[in-house]
Amino acid sequence: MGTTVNKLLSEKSIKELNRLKGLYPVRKSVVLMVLHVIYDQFGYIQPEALKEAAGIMEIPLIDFHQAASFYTMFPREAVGKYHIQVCRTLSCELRGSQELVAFLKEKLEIDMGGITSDSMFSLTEVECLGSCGTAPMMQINDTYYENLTRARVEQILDDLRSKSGNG
Amino acid sequence: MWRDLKSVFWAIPKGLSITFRYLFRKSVTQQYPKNKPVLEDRYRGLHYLTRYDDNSERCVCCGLCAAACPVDCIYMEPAETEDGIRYAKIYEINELRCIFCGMCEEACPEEAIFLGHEFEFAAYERDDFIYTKEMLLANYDNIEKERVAKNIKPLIRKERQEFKTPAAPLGH
Amino acid sequence: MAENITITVDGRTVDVPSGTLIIEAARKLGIEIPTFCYDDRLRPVGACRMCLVEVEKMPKLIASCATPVAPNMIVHTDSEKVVKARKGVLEFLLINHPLDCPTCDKGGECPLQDNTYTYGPAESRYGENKIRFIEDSKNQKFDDIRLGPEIFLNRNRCIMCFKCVRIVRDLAGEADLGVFQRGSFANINVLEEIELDDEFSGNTVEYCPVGALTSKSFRYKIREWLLKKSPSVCNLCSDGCNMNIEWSRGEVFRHMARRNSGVDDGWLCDRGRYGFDLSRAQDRLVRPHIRRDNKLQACSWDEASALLSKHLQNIIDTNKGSEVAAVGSPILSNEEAFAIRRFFSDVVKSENVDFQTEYPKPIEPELLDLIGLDGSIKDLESDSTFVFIGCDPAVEHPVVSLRIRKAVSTYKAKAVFISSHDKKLGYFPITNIRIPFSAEAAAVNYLVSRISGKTTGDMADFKIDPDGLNRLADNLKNAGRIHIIAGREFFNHPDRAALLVGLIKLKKSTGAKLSILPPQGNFIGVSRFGLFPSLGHSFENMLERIESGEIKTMFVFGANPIDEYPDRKYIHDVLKNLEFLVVVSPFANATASLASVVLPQAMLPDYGGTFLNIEHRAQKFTPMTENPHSDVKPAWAILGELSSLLDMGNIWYSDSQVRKVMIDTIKEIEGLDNLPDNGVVIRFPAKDGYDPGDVSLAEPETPGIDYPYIMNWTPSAHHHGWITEKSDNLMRISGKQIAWMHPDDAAREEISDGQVLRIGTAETALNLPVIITTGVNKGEILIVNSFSANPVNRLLKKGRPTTFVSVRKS
Repeated sequence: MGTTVNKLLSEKSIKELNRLKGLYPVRKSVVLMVLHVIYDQFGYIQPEALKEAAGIMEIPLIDFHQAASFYTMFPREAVGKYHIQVCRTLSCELRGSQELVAFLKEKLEIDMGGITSDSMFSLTEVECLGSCGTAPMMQINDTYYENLTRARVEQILDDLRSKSGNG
Repeated sequence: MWRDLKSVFWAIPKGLSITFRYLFRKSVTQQYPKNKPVLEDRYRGLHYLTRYDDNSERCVCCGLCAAACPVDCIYMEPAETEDGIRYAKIYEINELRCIFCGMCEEACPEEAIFLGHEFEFAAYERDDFIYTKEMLLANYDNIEKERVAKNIKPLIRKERQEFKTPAAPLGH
Repeated sequence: MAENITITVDGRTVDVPSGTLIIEAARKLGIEIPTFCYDDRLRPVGACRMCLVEVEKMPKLIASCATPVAPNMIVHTDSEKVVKARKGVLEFLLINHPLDCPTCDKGGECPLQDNTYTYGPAESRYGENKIRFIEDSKNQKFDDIRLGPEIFLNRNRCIMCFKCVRIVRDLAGEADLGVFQRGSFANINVLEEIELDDEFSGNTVEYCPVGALTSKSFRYKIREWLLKKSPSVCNLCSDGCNMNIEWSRGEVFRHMARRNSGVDDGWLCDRGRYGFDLSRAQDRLVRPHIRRDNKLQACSWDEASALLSKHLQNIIDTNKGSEVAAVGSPILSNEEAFAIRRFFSDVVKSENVDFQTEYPKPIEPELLDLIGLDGSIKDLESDSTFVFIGCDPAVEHPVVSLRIRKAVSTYKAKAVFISSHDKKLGYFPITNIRIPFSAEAAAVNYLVSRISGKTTGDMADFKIDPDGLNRLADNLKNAGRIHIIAGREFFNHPDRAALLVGLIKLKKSTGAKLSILPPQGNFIGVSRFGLFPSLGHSFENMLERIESGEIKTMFVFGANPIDEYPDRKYIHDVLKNLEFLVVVSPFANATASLASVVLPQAMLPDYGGTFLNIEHRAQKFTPMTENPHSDVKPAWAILGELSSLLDMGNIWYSDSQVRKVMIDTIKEIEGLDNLPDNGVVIRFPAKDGYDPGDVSLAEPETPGIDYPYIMNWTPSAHHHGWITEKSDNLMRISGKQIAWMHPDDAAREEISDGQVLRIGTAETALNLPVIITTGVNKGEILIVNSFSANPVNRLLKKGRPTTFVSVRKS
């Protein structure tokens, strides 16, 4: 009981949520779409915003948390502007993903799951991203970077830094 | 008549010959209070409760010894420490009722209770035969510890069951 | 009807209705298929894979708990393939299981233990590190996490059968428990700041197939094989759920459900389950007490009964039976109620018996036939529209509300609550129609006239917003099976006569079923078996007679009028006028402190007998056979002993003896003699054609300026009535006493959430923390009752239907 005031969700997100609301015959089916809406706005699953969304959709909050924790690609804590996901599955591992991780850690001065102090980069390991032929590889936001070497990684990071510096 | 007499006189040295024969053999009886008997490791005397090397009690009060006991001489009440570890709040063995069958040590999954070598625990009161947890632990600490360290400890689990750190789940 | 299908299981054929699951068909043949996640009352998930069976012409093994039978199916439950598969499944289930059976509470009654012993491999081939969930708190590592005040979870032992999640979500309809992560890391948990404390959380512990869920009150207490079981019936509400009281050495350790598919279907609410510590509560009376030198002092039974028999002998000799009154209570068994009536009418020659100490007005004799469930508890599942008037089934009848929840969630029934504050059935969709305090009678009359098409009259007087009622009336016109249920608020309603007339009219105009459900334990039993004041004075009249000095002696059995009667000051003053007050009670209480003689009464596990539940089902409860309280006695034993001292016959030694006399006296209850385990529904002949005629509605009162708020009260789910307060377990899970108020009122009074308020009338006040919510009406304050520190009946006043209060920050 009690009223919720929507503070975090943008108007665009609320509009989208209201559109989704009537779309599914089984109400619970909308859970994944709502998570996408929140991910699109915040870049991660913002817990307070999720609470607001659950209120709008009239679905128990726990359903969203269950789904969000199931899918590893929904980060549940704030991530950097560039979210680096390194594949840790067999092919990449054989081709040196551990080395890649170690190099990234050293370069960005963060731990696994951490975020740089300027909120530029964050680092996680993920399971296979389906790019085994070009291992080792990593995904930064929505882009794949493949056949990585130390030099290439350094260049990629520098590129991203300068890009965001300009923009 | 003469023959009967002969058999009477002959019977005495014949019988004594067995006595004399045993006189020079090694004695099977022992001079008990003066000489202590040598007991095998599997001897089943007074119970003791063992400890881990860090001096914590092994017994978790699971109740299996009491369940296995054919004469129902073990009583226990479990409790929980502040750290969430189960331990025996009360653990009592009625040694008068006990038949020293050793079922309890066989049942014990934590290798906590054993039957030791102590057998001289006479007392004047029946109540004195109800051995509490403290008495059973004292039996280990004072009497059995060295022998256990030498003969039994190498055979049993050394530490409280611990898991190794597993890999972290993905996506936090 | 569904047609039957014949299938073959292990070479034997069986006929089952179509849609039956293979596991059920096998059970019908007596073939047990091992399983962890299957429960015939929950929807199948096929999570544990333990029930794999081989079906001919199917390439793979299938889960028998999730596959319905098909014609000519040939099933093998013990082929080589199945045996191997079970071994494999168990080996996998045990991969991350810590195998800490010695410290686990489930040891001895654990399906995982049993199935591994029967079907499993003796050794595991898994040599890697096991996954361990550890909770870090206060720099210490715990395997167990706290889900709620009573429930703890060890996620390492969990085998992910989802039984608990299904119980909480599908059965209770609460969104507390969920599954997080995936794969080997999948784990059950609650969200932060959320507690698993709904009315049925204890069932998750009972039905957990491993020791993952444990309850605080039973953790590390005793082994299952040491417990003895006494089949019993819960009397903390009138549902009459069957349970086993499990005890050892005279101490009760837990209550477990005893499945009776007609009543509880194997579920227990937390109040019944965790109220087991009542019998050894601190306030338990275990010895008789006599007032000497103005102080109650412990004495022997001989002394106490000598004193009582002397007093009674005096009354009998002087023929002053009418100066004696007896008050029972709904916690008494049928036998006790009958014995009390018998003793007072035969021996003392007094017909002044009653048990309604909680209500300002006694119930009308005609109402007696209407009280109880219309139809059976099982029938509730097939009703399509429920209208609740003054009834909160989740609180008053938790286990019966499961049937309603099932009707709402599975069969899409509608549930409508007409009340002054919001009610809920988990998260299942229901409709709340809000009306002002005590306007139920007006609302029902409005519904009746709307349905029959008459002019509806003016609702402005009663400040009722007619929209919701209009919609309900239109729905009721075309609804199928309607069930109108009235509950506690009906009995406490200031204008009960008018509400009853309205309800009967509503029943007639819609063809609905009408159930009036008393919330307290054996209400129907004690009213049917003697304590209803059919010849003598009702409790209300008794109090007047005590004031005028006509009644001088009172016996109180199991009741506590001072905490129950809706005017604390009045009842206290009246009872003080008595020359001789005898309190027979299981607990020391406020009324006992005024008594001349206090006698320790037997309560649930101490004695045997029968109870009558809301569907008039007589059910037997049995005592535990070792009892440390040797001095407690049921009412019939006490009265039988007095009777023998007075030399008057009526000497009772056992409950079955009393029952025999009862059966001889009341002819409807023949079945009571040889009760089967699931009880017998007793049919009392109803007096038909009760037409109460018209009653004019009482005008609602308007608050003054000094006391602007209307006070209303409600019980809480885990604790209600004076008895449950004696249970430490229930007090732990019921939380604190609170009050609710509307945000607008809070804004006007500048009150913030959680602030402690002084809620009071001119005479007295209660200090309570307040929660601000739109769930209550503007201008009303809702208080949780039954806490002796702040009893609501201190604010109530006899003869004043509405209580107005003021609110101040304290």
